[in-house]
This record gives sequence, C-alpha cells and structure tokens, in this order.
Amino acid sequence: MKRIIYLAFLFFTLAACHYEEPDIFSAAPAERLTTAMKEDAIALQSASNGWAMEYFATPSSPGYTLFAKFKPSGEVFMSCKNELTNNVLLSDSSVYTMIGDYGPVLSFASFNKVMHQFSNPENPNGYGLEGDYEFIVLKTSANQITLQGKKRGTIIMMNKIPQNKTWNEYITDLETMNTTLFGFGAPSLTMSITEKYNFSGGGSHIFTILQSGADVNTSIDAPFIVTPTGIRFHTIQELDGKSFQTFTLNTDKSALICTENPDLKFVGPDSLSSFLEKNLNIWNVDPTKLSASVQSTYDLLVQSLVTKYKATGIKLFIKYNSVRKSHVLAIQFTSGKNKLEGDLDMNFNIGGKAEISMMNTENADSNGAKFYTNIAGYKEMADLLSTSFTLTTDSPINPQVIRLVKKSDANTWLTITTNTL
Amino acid sequence: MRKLIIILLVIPLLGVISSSCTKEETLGPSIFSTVDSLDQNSVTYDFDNWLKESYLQPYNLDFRYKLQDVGSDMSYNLVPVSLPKAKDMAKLVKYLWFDAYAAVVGQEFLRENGPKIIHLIGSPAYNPVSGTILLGTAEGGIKVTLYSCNDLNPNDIAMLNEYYFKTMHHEFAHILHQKKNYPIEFAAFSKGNYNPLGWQTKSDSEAASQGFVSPYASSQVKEDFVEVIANYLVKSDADWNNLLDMASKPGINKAGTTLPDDGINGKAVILSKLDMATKWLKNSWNLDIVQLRAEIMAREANINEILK
Repeated sequence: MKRIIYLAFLFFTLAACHYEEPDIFSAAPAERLTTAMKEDAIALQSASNGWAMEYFATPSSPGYTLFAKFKPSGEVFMSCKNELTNNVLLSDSSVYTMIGDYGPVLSFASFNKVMHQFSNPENPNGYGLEGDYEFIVLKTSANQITLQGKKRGTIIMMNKIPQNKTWNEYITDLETMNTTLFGFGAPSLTMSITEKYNFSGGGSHIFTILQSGADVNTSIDAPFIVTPTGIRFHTIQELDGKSFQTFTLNTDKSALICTENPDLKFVGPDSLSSFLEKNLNIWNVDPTKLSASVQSTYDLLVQSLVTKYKATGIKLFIKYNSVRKSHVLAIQFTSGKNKLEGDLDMNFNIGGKAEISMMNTENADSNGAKFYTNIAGYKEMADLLSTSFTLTTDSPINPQVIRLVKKSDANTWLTITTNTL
Repeated sequence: MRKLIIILLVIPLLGVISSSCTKEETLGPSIFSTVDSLDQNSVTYDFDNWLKESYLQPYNLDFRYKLQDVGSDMSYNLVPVSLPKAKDMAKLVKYLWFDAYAAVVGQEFLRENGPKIIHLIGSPAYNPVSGTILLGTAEGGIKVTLYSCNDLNPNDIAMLNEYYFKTMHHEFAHILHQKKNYPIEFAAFSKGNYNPLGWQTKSDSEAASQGFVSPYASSQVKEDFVEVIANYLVKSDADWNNLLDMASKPGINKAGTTLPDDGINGKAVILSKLDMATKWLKNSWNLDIVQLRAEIMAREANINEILK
C-alpha cells in the first residue's frame, strides 16, 4: 500500500515537471533574424537623402566619409571625394543585400567603385587597403546606424543626412573643417590632462600622440575622421585615466571640445608669435586687407614692378629662407617667360605670445638687392614693417590668417595668409 | 480499495497523457519562403530570372555573382564582380562552356557531372608572398570559383580563354578526374620533373621543352593532366602548333638564357599526354575532345552576337 502511495506521489511530481518555462523569445531564431534583416533594410532605406558613412578600412587606417543612398530595389548609390579619388567626386551604383550571418549583415554584394576601393587587393601590392564591405548591423536609430566590419571589426557610424543638405554641401562642410583644422602645414595640437600631450600629423588623419618631453618611441597612433563639426576617433582613446572620442570645434575656432568630457580639449599653438617665427610656410601679404598707409606703399611697389618689368602675378610675402638662414620679405612675379624672386633679409624678434618685431637688415640676395635699389616701394615696405606688431588670428587652433597691427599705431596694419591668394 | 487506488492513479496519468496529446501546437507558417524567391521589384530581377532559366532549371546550378565573403576564401582580400561584368560573364559561360558541352555530350552529362555552383569574384586572389594570383578554384566537384571577373573584356578572346575558360575547363577536368581517376601511367611521362613550389619560376619555353603545356602544369601530376585538356580546348590551331614548336626546341629561361639539352622531346611528351587524356575522356566519359574543341572554336567566332 505504501508503495502505491509513493508511486502516486511520484506521478504527481512528474506531472509538475511537465510544465515548462515560457519561451523567452516570441519567435524562432530564424524568424527573428528574418524580421531583424527586414527592419534593418527599412532603416537603411528610410534616409531619403542618404547616409554619411564614416568608414575606417582597418582599426589603424584613417577615416573617410562615404555617401550612400539605399533603394528598396536593392540598389545603392554611393559617392565620395577625398585624396584617394584625387579630390574628384567619385560616384557609382551597385547592389546591396541584407544577409543572415553574424546576425543581420549589410553586404555591398556587387562591385562599387566607392565602397570597394578600400578592399580591392590590386592596390597596392596584392593586399589593398584591406577594408570590409560586409558589416554587422549593431544598432539602428532614426538618425544613426552603427555597423561593424565583419573581417576587420572596425566600427562604422552612418549618420542620416538632413533633407535640406545636399551631398556636395556636406562635402564642402567636411573640406572646410579639414582645412580649418589641418590645412596649410597646420601645427600640432596639444591636450593637457594631468600631463601635456602632443598630437601631430593630423593632416594624415592619424594622430601620433606623444607625451610632452617623452621618448618618441613611446608614441601611439590614433586614427580619426573629420566630421562636419570636428573630429571623431575610430575608437575611444584614454590618457591619464580620461576617455575621449568625439570633438567639436568651438565657435571662436580656438579649440576642439570633447563631447564626452567637455573638460578635455585640443588647442593650437600656445604662442602666435613663436608659431609665426618657426613656421616654414609662405605668408602672403593680402593686398585686399591692408591699412591705408600699407596699401599706398604696396600700390607703389606693384606699379613700379609693372612699369619696370611688365610684371604679372605679383606676390609680396614673408617666409623663412633656409639657405639664407633668415626670414625674408620677398617679391615674386612673372616677367615675360621668367618667374623672378628677390629676397630681402628681415630679422624677427619675439616680444611676447602675440607680439613680434621685424627689422630690415638691408641684406638681400642678388635679385633682392636689385629690386631694393631699382623698385620703388620695396625699401619703403621693408622700413614700414621694421617695427613691433601685435598679432591676432581668427582661427587660433590652426592660424592661417594673421593680422599684424603696429604696436605704436593701430592705424597701420596688414594681413598675411598661408592660403593661396 | 486497491482497485480504487489504481483507478485514482490511472485517471490523472491518463489526464497527463491526454493533455500532452491535446496540447500539441498547430504548426505556424513556414519560416522559409514558399513562394518564388525572386523579388520582382529588385534591380536584379531580370538577370536573376535569366539565371534561373539558364542555369538553375536546366543544370540545377546556382550562379553566384553577389559576393558573400563566407562563400569565398576568407584568407584573401577580394572584391565582388560588378553587375554589368557579371551579366556578360553569365552569358559567355553559358554560350562558350555549358552550351558547347551540351552540344557535344548532352545536357544530361552536365547535369550529372557539371559544377553545381559557379561563384564570380571581381578581383584576382593575390598571394603576395609567392607573387602569384589564383585564376580559379574547384571545390569537391561542386563549386567553381572564377576570379578577376572585373577585368573581363569580351572582345579579347585570348584573355577570355586565359583568365576564365581555360580555368573553367581546367577545374571541370579536376571534377571529372575526381570522379573517375586518370590513368596512373600518366604520371610516368614527366616523372621527376614536377616542382610544386618552384613552377612559377619557369618560363613557358622552359616548361614546354620539358613536356609541359604551361609552367603550372609542371607543379603536380594532376595539374599537368587537366592543363593538357584545358590548353588543348582553348588554344587556336596556330597557338597549339606554336606551343608544340616551342616544345621541340631547347628551353629558354626567364633570364633569356638557352638551357642545355635535357634529353626530353617536349613535343612528343605533350602529344603523348594529350593522346592519353583524349582516350580517357572518350572511354570514361564518352567525350570527344576534338569535337568539343571544334564546337568551342565555332562559338568563339560569334560571341559578339550573344552579348547584344
């Protein structure tokens, strides 16, 4: 009897075991994958003006912005303009598919000149740039899709392009930001945390980061991409226990401010006068931005060159002449088939972070000496500049235009620029 | 009492069993598509439909032009074929290869022995270390992969043959000999002259003088066998005779130096290899290689027509 009761107990226990946990997921894995792929395709196609894709071929490569518009028909139209395309707009259409692989994967499945320039092994050396063309879709939101390259693991953000912005306008914004930050022999940027760090080589879009005063062998590389508002590193960087990745240029163009940690910022040269003194660029005198007194001297010089040499393409500029080991006030022009330049040595002295003095030494190369004697306005200009100036710039993070105001007379000023005039 | 207890036990037991049975869920819709998988709104619908009618239905062959890297050798850096090149390639492969074989040995032969997947890749598969590139691969008698398809120039017959159709014949010959082995006597023709690692240093002349139709043929016996078939099928009479002529003379290496006489009559060796391959194809597969070659040559004269 007891045995029967035990058996009965056992049956009821088994019956209790029959109940199962409800399904954690509402559908089978294959169904969920299919649904996710459809939803991701809809998200891709939702950008009627396309996406700006912040592409990194590998974790150690610089970032490039590609533009992509995904159509429901499975066609993708892409464009880009960068140094890889010789700064010419490159566009192409091809086929994309959503495939189930490591979850939903976006595959650029037929050749596209824009996308596959990064994975074409023919350029260079049978390796190419080793970039991905298949991407795991990590996250989608209304205005941003996060992808991850399947082979290389690079994180690639796609930002929805506003309806009122053309791709060309977006490219112009990127080019303007790139020039502002890294154009014309830009200086290294610095970031002070606990220690001070130097970020050099920004023009390549791969910073070399070196702690101030440290051995160069301790430097590390950090690829980034230029965005319309600043820069974004491919991966989160960390120095002195502080993390940073995305930066926005502030309104006075004096610093790139970290989005994640606003205490962190990149700044340009600490001293504008030292920057000008040590800079190896050609600094053209901008004839459209001169005070009246400087303008009249400049006009005298130009008139004299035209009369004497039938000069065209006249440029007056300041540069460091490494052969003469001196800064010079130079004249350059074309006369007939000849392009002529004359250099007159000017001593530079730094007076403060934003103050510099120049002095006409009356030493010149052979052309310079000839012009100094025969061209009215050259000596006068050199003498006019032989004084102390206060320096200002409208882009302190990368000074490309500097205004020199005579310290003793605010009505005497000139503007010099590294931009080609 | 005992009966009552048994009844009491049996009733819940039946209840459990019956509830198990009645709780069986009705199956929902299939998770796999049961309708035509081709999307009529797709930009590739017309092409996909043509592939279905030209390859899938007659040959049960999946012609893959959309590159998924899991379907390729992940160790290489590759790019997909462009859509226009894929369309040209699909037409050419059908006309110059499938239809040529079908005309000589019938569709059934291809259905039984032909590849089941053709995979197009846009770029070459570079091996930067050895300085070589892969033009094609065959995997397990099932799949043929063709590389460099973005370089396709339909007007250049020599290039078509060298890059694609020689590769197709080469890989198909591998498929055939994997099913029915070639005569073991074949290995004796060039015994001692195979070099799996150094073949790429040989010039065409050097290889021919040793009795090989190409430098790659000198890498292994099985490659030698399929290279004889592939080269014979795609080379014009003039090119084949040039090869034999070159094989009958002393070899000249890549540096331009004439090599000493090695005692091998290259032409005779090549012709002996071709003779053995011809008989094997006829006896094992009822395939007349001379007839097939004539069919291919005739078709090559008309390829502009099929690309219109």
